[in-house]
Amino acid sequence: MSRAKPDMIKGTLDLLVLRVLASEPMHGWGISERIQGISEDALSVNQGSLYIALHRLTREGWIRSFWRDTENNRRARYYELTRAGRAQLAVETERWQRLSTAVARILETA
Amino acid sequence: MRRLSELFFRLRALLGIGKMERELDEEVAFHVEMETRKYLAQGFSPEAARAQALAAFGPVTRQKQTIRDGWGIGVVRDALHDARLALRQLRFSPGFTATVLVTLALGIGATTAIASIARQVLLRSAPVADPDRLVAVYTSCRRGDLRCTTSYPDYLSLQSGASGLTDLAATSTVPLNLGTEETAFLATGELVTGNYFSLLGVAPHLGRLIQQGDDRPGGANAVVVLSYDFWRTALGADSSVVGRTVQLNQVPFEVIGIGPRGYAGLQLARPRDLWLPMFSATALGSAVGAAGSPATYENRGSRWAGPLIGRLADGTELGAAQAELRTIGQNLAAEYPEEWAAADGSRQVTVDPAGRYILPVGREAELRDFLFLLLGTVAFALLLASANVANLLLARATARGRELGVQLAVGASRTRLVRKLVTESLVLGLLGSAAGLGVAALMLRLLSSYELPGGVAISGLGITLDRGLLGLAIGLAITTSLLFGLAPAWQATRQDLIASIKGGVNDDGRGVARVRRGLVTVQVALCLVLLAGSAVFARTLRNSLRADLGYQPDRAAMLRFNTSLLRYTPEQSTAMRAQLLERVRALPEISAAAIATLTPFQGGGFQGFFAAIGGYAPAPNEEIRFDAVIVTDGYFEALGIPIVAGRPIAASDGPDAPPVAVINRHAAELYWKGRSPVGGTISFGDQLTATVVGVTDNPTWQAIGEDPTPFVFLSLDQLRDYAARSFLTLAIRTPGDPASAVRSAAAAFRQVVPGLSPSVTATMETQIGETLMPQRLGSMLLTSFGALALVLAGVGIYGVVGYGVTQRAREIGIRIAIGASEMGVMRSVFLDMAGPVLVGLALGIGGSLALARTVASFTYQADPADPLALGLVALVLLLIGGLATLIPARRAARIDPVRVLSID
Repeated sequence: MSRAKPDMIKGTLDLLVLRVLASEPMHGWGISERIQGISEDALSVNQGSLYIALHRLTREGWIRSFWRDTENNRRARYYELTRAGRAQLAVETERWQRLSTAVARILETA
Repeated sequence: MRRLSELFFRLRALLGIGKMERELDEEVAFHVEMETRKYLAQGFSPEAARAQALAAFGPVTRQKQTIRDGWGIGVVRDALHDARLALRQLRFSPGFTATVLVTLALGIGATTAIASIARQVLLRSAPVADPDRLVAVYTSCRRGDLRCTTSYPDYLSLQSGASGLTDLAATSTVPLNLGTEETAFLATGELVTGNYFSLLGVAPHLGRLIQQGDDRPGGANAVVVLSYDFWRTALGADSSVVGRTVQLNQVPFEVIGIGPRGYAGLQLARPRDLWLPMFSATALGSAVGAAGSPATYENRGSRWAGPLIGRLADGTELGAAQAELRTIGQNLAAEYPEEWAAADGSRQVTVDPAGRYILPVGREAELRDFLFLLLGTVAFALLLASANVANLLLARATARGRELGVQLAVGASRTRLVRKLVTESLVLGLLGSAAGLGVAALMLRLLSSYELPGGVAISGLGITLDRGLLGLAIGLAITTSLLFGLAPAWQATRQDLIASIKGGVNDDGRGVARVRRGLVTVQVALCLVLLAGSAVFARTLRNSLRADLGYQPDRAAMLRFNTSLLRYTPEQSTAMRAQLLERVRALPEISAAAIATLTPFQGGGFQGFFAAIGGYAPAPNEEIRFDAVIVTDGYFEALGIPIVAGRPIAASDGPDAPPVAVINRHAAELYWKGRSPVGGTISFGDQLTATVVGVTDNPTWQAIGEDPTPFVFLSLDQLRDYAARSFLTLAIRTPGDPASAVRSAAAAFRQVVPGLSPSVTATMETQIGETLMPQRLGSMLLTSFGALALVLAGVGIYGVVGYGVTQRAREIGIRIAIGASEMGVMRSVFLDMAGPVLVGLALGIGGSLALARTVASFTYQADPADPLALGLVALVLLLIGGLATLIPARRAARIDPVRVLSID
C-alpha cells in the first residue's frame, strides 16, 4: 500500500516531528496524523519508528513529554518542544533548506 | 546541557524502569486504539480495523526493544548479569576468593587507615571561622630556635604594630589541677587574652566564652571555659556545671561556658582542657610559672607566652604579614637590644599558618617524616598485596585458559569474555574494598591508643570513617583490581585456541610464566624491605629500653594518687604519707619506697621554678629556671638514681630542719662551674632558700636522648602545704617482679587510704615504653606487614613453581624417561626459581639501603643499613623461598612419565 509513496529520507523524520511540535504539544498518534495529513499522504510515517524517534528526541533533550487527558477524556502522553529543541529545529530547517536547494539546483542544471 | 539531559534520562530509566515500561505500553496501546477507531470510522469490521492498525504500527515488540535500547539500560542490565555470574564463579573457588579478598582487605584497609591519619594531621582545618587566615606568631630564643615564647610587653608591641593582622591574641599553656565537689583532674589549661575567642570566631556550646572584659590587668575575672571534650569525658557532659564554681589549684573559678564542639586549641599535640583569662593567672601564683607573677607583665625579658595567635586582615597575604612582623621585630631589637639579643645577632619574629593546626614546635619534620614512613610502609604493603592478587588472577586466568578457549571456539566474542573477566576482578575489588573498610576501622581503633612523634595522640585527631575514606578505599580497590584484572583478561583471550584447548605448552603460557616470575621478584624485594624495616624498629625499641637513663628502671614501679581528693589538712596528709611509707616499706618484696610529686616519664606536670643562686651572677635578663621534684627520703634509692656528690634527701630533712636541695649534675656544671655546689644555696623567690646537700647524675626525664635541663629535688616534708593538695607518686623498688610488687603496694595503699584508688599504677619500664609510642607503632606496623609479606611471598613462590611444574610436566616426564635422577629434576626446578628470588633479594637490599637515611631519624642505636641484619632477613626469605619451592619440586621429581606423556 505504501509502495508508491517515497520513503523518508534519513533524519527528516526528526525535522518533521520538531516542526509539528513547534505549533503545539501533541500526542504520538496526533503527530503521525498531522504529518500524513499535511503531506496529503505523500509521506508515509512508519508509526513504530515515530515512537523510536520521539524517545530519541526526548533523550536528546529536544522535546519533553507529559501525561494529559485528550478531548475525549483518554489519558495520553503529550510531547512538547524544549528550548533546546526550538534551537535544533532552526538548525535542522536551515540544513534541510540548504540540502533541498542544492538538490534542486543539480536537477535543474545537470 | 545535552549530556546532562541524557544522564538524567538514563538515571530515570534505571530507577523507574518499571514505570517507563508501563508508560511505553500505555502509549503504544493508545496509538493502536486511536488508529483502530480511525479504520472503524472508515467502515472496517472491528477485527480488520485492529489488524490494519497493528500493521501500520509495524512489529511492536521489536520497536519497543529499540526504544528500550535507546534508554541505555541494556548496558546496566548486562553488567548486573555479569556481576551475578562473577559472584557465582567466585563461589566455585572459595580458596582463591578468600585469599584475594584477605590480601586486598589488608592492603586497602591499612592504606586507608594510615592515609586518613596523615590527612588529619597534615590537612585538617580547625573548627574556627576562616581557619586559613589564622597565623601563629613566635619570637626566637637567644640560642637561635625560631619558635619560642614571647614576653607580654613584646606581645603588646606586636599586636599594636601589625596592621596586616586584624588582631593578635596571646596564649600560654599551664598544667592545672581541677577540683569539683566530687573529684579532681589533672588538666591542660591555656591562659588566653580576652580577644582570643572573638579572634577565632567561634561560638560556645553552652554558656559564654571569655571576653575582652574578663581579662583586665590586675583584676581579671576568675572564670574558666571548659573544652567540649573535657566536659564530656571528665564531667559526663553535665550541663549544670555552667555557672558552678570549680577549684583550679585550690583557687575558686566560675565555669562560664563550654567551648565549641570539636575545638581543643590549635595545637595538634596537647588538647586543651580549659581556658582562663590571661591575667587570672596571677591568682594562681607561681604554680603556673612566670605568668603567675604580676611583675612579669611589665618585664620584656620574661618570655613565657606562646604561640601568639593572629588573624590576617582582609587583603593581606601571609608573606606581607611575615614581612611586616619581622620589621616590627627588628625595630624592637633596635629599641631593646638587651632583651632582643641572641647568640647570632638579635632575636626575630616568625609567622606560620595556624588554621590547619600547629604541629608540635621543633618536631614538625620528624612528625611529617614519620607519617611518610608509615604511608610508605602501607604503600609497600598495598603494592605487595596487589602483586599477590595479580599473581593469583594470572594463575587463575591461565588455569581457566582451557575453559575460555572452549568458549571462544564456540563463538563467544572476545569483548564479551574480556568484559566477563574484568567484571570478575571488579567484583573482587569491590568486595575487597568493603572488607578493607572493615580492616581500616579495626586498625584505627587499634591505633587510637598510640601516639605519633611530638606527643600527637591518634585518638585526639577526630578520625571517623567518612565519605573521603570510603572513596579512597573504593578508588584503591578499583584501581588495583582493574590494573591486575585487565592483564590476565587480555592474556587469557589472546591465547592460541587450539593449544589452550589441548592444554599444551604455548608461547603465551610462557609469557604468563615470565610475568609471574617478575611478580615473585617484586614480592621478594618488597618483603625484604618491610622485614628489614621491622628489624630496625624492633632493635630501636630494645635499645631504647636498655639505654642508660641515669637510673635503673628495670626493678622500679610507681603508683600515682590524687591527695587533693582527700580534703586532708596538711597534718593529716603528712600522717597519711608516713603511714603509707611505713606499710609499703614493711612489705617483703619491696626494698625501697618514697613519695614524690613526680617520677620520670610520667609526662608533663612539671613545676618550673625561677631561682637565684648564691654566688652566681646571672647575665642581664638571664632566667634561671629549675624543674622541681619534691621527694621524701628513699627516692633516689627507689629509682636507682646515683648520687655523685654529697648526700641524698634524708628522713631527717623535716619541717624543723634547715631546707635542703639536691641538684643534678647539669645544674652544677651550669651554675657552679667546677666548684662544688654542696653547701651552696638556691632561692625560689621569697618562699624558700635551700642549701644544696647533694648532686645526682642527669636522670633522663621525658624522652630518651633528651638534652639535660637543670633539676632540683626538694624535701617533701619541708613543703607540706604543697604536698597536701597535689598529685603524688609512690615510687618503689623491688628485687623481684616490679609488676607484682606494685600490686602489693596498691593493696597497702587501699588499706591506708580507704575509698581512694590510685589513678595510675605502672612499672617504670611500661612508663618509659609509653613514650616510645612512635617506635612501637612503627615496629608493630612493620612487623605485622613484614610477617604478612613473608606469607604472601611464600604463597606467591609456591604458586609460580607449582604452575611451572604443571606446565613443564611433559618436558620433565621426558627427562625422567630418558634417565634424569630425582635430584636432577629437583635441582632444575630450584634453579628455575633461583633467578627471580635472588634478583628480588638484591633489589630489596638495595631498596633498604636507599631508604636507610629516611628511617635513621626514628632509630636509636640501630643502623638501618646494618649488613648483619639485612643478611639475616635475606636468609629468612631465602629459607621461605626454598620451602615454598620444595613441595612442588618434589612433586616434579615424582612425575610418572608414562602418565604425562599419554595424556593427549
